[in-house]
Amino acid sequence: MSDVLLKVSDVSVTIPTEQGTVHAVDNATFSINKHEVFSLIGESGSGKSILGQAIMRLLPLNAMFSGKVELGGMEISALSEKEMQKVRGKIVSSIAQNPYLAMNPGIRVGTQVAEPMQAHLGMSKEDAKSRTCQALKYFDITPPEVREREYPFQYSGGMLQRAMVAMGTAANPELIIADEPTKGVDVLKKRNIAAIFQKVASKGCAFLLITHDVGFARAMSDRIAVNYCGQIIEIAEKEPFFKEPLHPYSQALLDAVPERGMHPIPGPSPSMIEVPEGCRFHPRCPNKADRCLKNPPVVEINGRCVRCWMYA
Amino acid sequence: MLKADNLHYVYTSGLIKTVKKTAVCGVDLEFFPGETVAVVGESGCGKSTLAKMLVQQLAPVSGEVFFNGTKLTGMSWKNLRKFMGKIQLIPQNPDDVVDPRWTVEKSVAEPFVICGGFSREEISANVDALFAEVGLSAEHKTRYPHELSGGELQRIVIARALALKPELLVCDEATSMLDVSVQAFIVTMLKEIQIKRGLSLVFITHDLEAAKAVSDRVLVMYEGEIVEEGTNVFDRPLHPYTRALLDAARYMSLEVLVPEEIGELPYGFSGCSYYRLCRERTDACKKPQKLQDVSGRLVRCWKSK
Ligand SMILES: Nc1ncnc2c1ncn2[C@@H]1O[C@H](COP(=O)(O)OP(=O)(O)OP(=O)(O)O)[C@@H](O)[C@H]1O
Ligand SMILES: Nc1ncnc2c1ncn2[C@@H]1O[C@H](COP(=O)(O)OP(=O)(O)OP(=O)(O)O)[C@@H](O)[C@H]1O
Ligand code: SF4
Ligand SMILES: [Mg+2]
Ligand SMILES: [Mg+2]
Repeated sequence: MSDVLLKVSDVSVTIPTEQGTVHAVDNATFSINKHEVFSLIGESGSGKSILGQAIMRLLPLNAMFSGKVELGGMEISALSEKEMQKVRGKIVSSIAQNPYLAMNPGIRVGTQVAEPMQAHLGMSKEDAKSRTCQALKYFDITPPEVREREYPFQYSGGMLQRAMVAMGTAANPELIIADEPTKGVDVLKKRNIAAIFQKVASKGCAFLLITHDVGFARAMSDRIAVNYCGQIIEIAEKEPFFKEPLHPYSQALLDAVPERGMHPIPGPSPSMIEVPEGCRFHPRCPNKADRCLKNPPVVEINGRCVRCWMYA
Repeated sequence: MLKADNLHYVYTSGLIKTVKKTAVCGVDLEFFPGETVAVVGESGCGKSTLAKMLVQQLAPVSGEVFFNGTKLTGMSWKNLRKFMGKIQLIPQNPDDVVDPRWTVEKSVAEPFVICGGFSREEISANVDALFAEVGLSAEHKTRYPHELSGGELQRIVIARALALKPELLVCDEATSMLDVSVQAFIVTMLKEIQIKRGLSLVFITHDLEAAKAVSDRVLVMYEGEIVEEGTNVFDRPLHPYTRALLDAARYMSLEVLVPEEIGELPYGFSGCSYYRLCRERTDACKKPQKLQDVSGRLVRCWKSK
């Protein structure tokens, strides 16, 4: 298939800690097409951000990576750090989960937003500055000429989040990895973000959207992947997924939304160090049987993938 | 139990050319024991600033905060300390409270150390219990903040805020980095504490569905003011701004219907703060608007009467 943009094959990440090895990502395999918005939802602490960092090659220094990441046919997981620097920002851009950590507190916001445009699009300082003001204005950070000169601590939480989105989309990359782009953003401005993502996507940019906001994922994406305890347990087109999630975890997750009364999934979240044997969801699964103590296969049904014995 | 009178806050920034920004402007409010209040409003409307003033992290430019009748504003640090365990804020940004150089276990233990009077064993038992309460385990204890996921770190901050058994807990976007199930778990846990000890909860949030699901009462803020306050606000919004906010949430995937914006308001405009964007404005809205009582609901709009 020629329109595959990102191909992730058998990517695993482990991180050693004092208490043992964290199995943050286990054999992640999926691909994202050009123009596609692919959302990754799922349990907090299940390795979504680490997977995004693995694709960007921005993992913690002590993390162990295995597997293969290809972008437009180029194996970016095999590039040297120097070559990767060129790719980053130009081809893949990331919008990190914590704007307070990702933004440099000592540099004006405008300068930080302009940086990728100067570095990767070769824009002059003045051009980048006027583009920055446009971008800030677009995200409702007004008046842009004043806001551009302010420092991150002068922004409210949601404003900084939007400035991050402006920075991530500035240099027209081919793939944007957005980790919680709408965290702390109000509904009106969330739609601005949705609108600009859609606009950027229509120009041919693909998105890997990591989010807890089920409504946003539903409005934005073409396909959805669900992560649980380091594994992708379901991948499906958006419509069929929301109509009928197949994996018991997906079902339980969608049942926990506020509209349905906020019912948490019973039982504790699994350890990421001593991961449950067999199906990782089995200790909490209402449909578990003896076979679930063995690793479930990834089953393909009607173009959907689900990792569960019920469908084997 | 907590009462605020006419709070104002103005940020001044810039060394050479000072820029003033009014973040909170004349807020009166009261929280009662055992109730859950949601504070909603768009980004930048001053919710976090208000929260920080309530917990005495920021001194208001004018106005007063009372806790069970005692005036907190202007109190010396020493006297304030014994109240600080009672009123806790979970800040929007976890890095405000966790020290990046400390293990998260140490951060959670810090309130006990500051408060004093706990033996080492007691502290460690309390810390373990708090970790379990927020759904984390021993494997997270010895890590540093950057070694946790966003949602795990957020739960560390929640655990820390619960340490000294507060009577009022202000949660500023405290569950924004959690998946819906863990979010439900945390809310259920807080509600259990509320039933057990009469804890008052204030949720500042952009998630209107969650606000509706958890709260007894809602405060809607706009441009530093409370524009609507009461029960069942989401079922029957009265202020045009509240209606616009709810519409926006409901039709997430549709094109936004932004009302025609009129240009800059004349300098010193003292009418309704929502005048510029209101779809229902008339000339009468150019007069200052007060909160009016509309059968138990407070609404800052003359039309709601
Ligand atoms: N530097 C690190 N050292 C050790 N463990 C880590 C490190 N960074 C992350 N982890 C662990 O790896 C797991 C996956 O983390 P990750 O940040 O990918 O979660 P996530 O799915 O993004 O969760 P959230 O939705 O809460 O952000 C977590 O259990 C976390 O505790
Ligand atoms: N330290 C600061 N210096 C100058 N201005 C500030 C500072 N902190 C906040 N502001 C400004 O005050 C206003 C209110 O900020 P606040 O953080 O209270 O908003 P908020 O309602 O919490 O928004 P959000 O939902 O985005 O977190 C914003 O316009 C912000 O830019
Ligand atoms: S007071 Fe007037 S301008 Fe303000 S919201 Fe009400 S109708 Fe609109
Ligand atoms: Mg994350
Ligand atoms: Mg805030």
